[in-house]
Amino acid sequence: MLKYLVIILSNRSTSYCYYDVPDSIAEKNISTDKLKEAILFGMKENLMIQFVFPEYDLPEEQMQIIDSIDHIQIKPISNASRNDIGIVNNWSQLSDSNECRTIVIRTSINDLTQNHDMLLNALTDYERVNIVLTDINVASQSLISDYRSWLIEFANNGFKELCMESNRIPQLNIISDRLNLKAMNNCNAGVDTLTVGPDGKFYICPGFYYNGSESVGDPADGLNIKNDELLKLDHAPICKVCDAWQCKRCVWSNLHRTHEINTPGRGQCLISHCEREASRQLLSSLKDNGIVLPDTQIDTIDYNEPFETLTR
Amino acid sequence: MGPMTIKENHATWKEGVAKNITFIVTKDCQLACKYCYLVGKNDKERMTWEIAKSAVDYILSNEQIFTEESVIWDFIGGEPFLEIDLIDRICDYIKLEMYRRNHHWFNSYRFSLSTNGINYDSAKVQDFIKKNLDHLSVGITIDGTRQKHDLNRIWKGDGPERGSYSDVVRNIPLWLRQFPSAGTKVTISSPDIPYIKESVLHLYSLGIHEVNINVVFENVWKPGDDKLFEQQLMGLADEIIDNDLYSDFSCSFFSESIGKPLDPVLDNQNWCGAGLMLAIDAAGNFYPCTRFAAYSLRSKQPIIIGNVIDGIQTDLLRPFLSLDRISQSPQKCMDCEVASGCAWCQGENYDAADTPTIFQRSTAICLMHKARVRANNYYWNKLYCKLELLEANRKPLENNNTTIK
Repeated sequence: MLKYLVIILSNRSTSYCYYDVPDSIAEKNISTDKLKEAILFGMKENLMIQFVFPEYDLPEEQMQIIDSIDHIQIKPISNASRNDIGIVNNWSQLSDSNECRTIVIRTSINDLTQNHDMLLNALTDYERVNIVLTDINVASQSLISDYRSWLIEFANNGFKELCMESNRIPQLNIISDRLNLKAMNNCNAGVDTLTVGPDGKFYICPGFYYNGSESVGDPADGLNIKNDELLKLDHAPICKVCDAWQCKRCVWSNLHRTHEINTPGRGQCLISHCEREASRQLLSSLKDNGIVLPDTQIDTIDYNEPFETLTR
Repeated sequence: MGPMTIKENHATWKEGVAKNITFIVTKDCQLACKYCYLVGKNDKERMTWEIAKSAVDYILSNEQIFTEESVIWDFIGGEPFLEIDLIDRICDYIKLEMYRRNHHWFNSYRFSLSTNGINYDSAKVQDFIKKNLDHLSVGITIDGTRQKHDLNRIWKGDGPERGSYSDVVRNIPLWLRQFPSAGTKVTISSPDIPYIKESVLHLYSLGIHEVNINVVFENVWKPGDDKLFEQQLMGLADEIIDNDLYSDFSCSFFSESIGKPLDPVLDNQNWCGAGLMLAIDAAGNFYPCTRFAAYSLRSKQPIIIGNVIDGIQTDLLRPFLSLDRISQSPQKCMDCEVASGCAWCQGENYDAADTPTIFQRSTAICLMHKARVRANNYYWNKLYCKLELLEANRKPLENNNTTIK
């Protein structure tokens, strides 16, 4: 059942996930009529609306329409206010002057591993930090191995020390989310979340808009996703046997890598299992230090990713 | 002692754990069969020696990818025997390279061809067969009676339709001498239904003991076809049982395992082997099965999973290798009480799907499967009754210390 409506306000709205906004794409805002239609759809369907902003200011008329409804704003971090989700596309954008409490850092694996200290600082400066690995679809096996080594070391040292010092577990999606979950908690684009592009039409997620996919309806004619069952967990043979519950299970990435919306590429699965393993080791280490998370257990496994269990 | 047949040679042959590698050597054929799913046949796309050699080199150089115990090197067309010189050269090269590399498939391989039978007795084809007989299986497609065969299997070209029955049937005796246990494959489309019974019996009369027969997966069926199909199969059942043909001849329509409900957990495996196989076309592209090559597809783009230069893109194989029954079947198939034995073709599923996916099962054969199940139940009930009667008659004789044959 749909819960969220993402409205991309401009062709140049910031990316907040794996997809890229092409540098060449022209600056074009959603029309005011389309914006109203999208908001009305969200109200009638009882959806929580999330607006995605560009770097530049939108017309005052549109801002007034946006402010007429409860919503969340996703903005480049330089423009983000306290309650917004701030998007960081470059580590140098992190500064003391940022107001928001939740940030998304879009980073390559190499840049992440080279900004160990900045990440630790961010975990004390912000209430929640989400890491989005922008090279998830092209990362080589050796790069993923590097990520695994770095993440486990980070979890067992810097991150654990933060836990011990603050007597709480900082919210970092790639380590802490798995500790708090009891079942799959994925992006669920097209199932929980629907996107309205700057053209006023529906897309499964912003990635589908930016890669030129056909729309899946519009507010006037309604939603029409063919084979929409394939977006659901029970129709994803690899994912439904997986317990890397924090994985985004990105259907846009799936389509890119395997040409099937319900089938992840090996890279996405390996990376999610690096994170699962880092969480597992952290949990074990915390337990050794007397910190117990009730009802939380992450087992050791003898595979790198769940596809291996299907093909044994 | 003559050469062992493939079946006798099972010590070096690992049935069921074999990799199937298919060379699409040509997209040309002498025939233009009306039910043929190959919509893009042509006489231009012929595999070159360079492409074939590159494919063999790639496959044999990557034992860590191709770990199956055995291999079937399959040659398909169009009509593969149109390229007998190329096939002969490829097979010689494969044997040489498997030996030179001390490859684990050496002496655990089979060459396999499925032919329309027209060129079967040509000198080149016969030389090839004799050279490779110990590791070769050849199937000839003959659809049944002249009437049934010529209904679909006609010569290519303009002018009045000309059936190919005479051109094929003359080679059946030679084929059966060389491959005594060979079976034939029969395909049933809507117009063929009235001829099923007589056609299977005709094939038996030609000396073919194994008839592998199936309805096409495409959506070609008309209202009432299922009833007619059921009648034909019941008539065939009567003939097989009343004339005691069941002990020496088989027809794949009748199987004890079909027509049962399937458990969603224990019986969740995929039916089709697409992805476990590898097909190579004239351009050197790899496919999960020939049905995903452009010439097989009506309305979708081909699914190319790599090529002879760059190898296999393993991410593109993941959907095929993880595909299960539940993920692709509509609810009516999950609820079906006679689901076992209901087949599907992954390529046809893909071609008929609403989106470019292999995860939408086509149910075009639903009524035909149910008709088959009813006839199949009739067959086994009737056969059991007959065998029980035989058994009942035998016991008093045994008690009298009398034996019967």
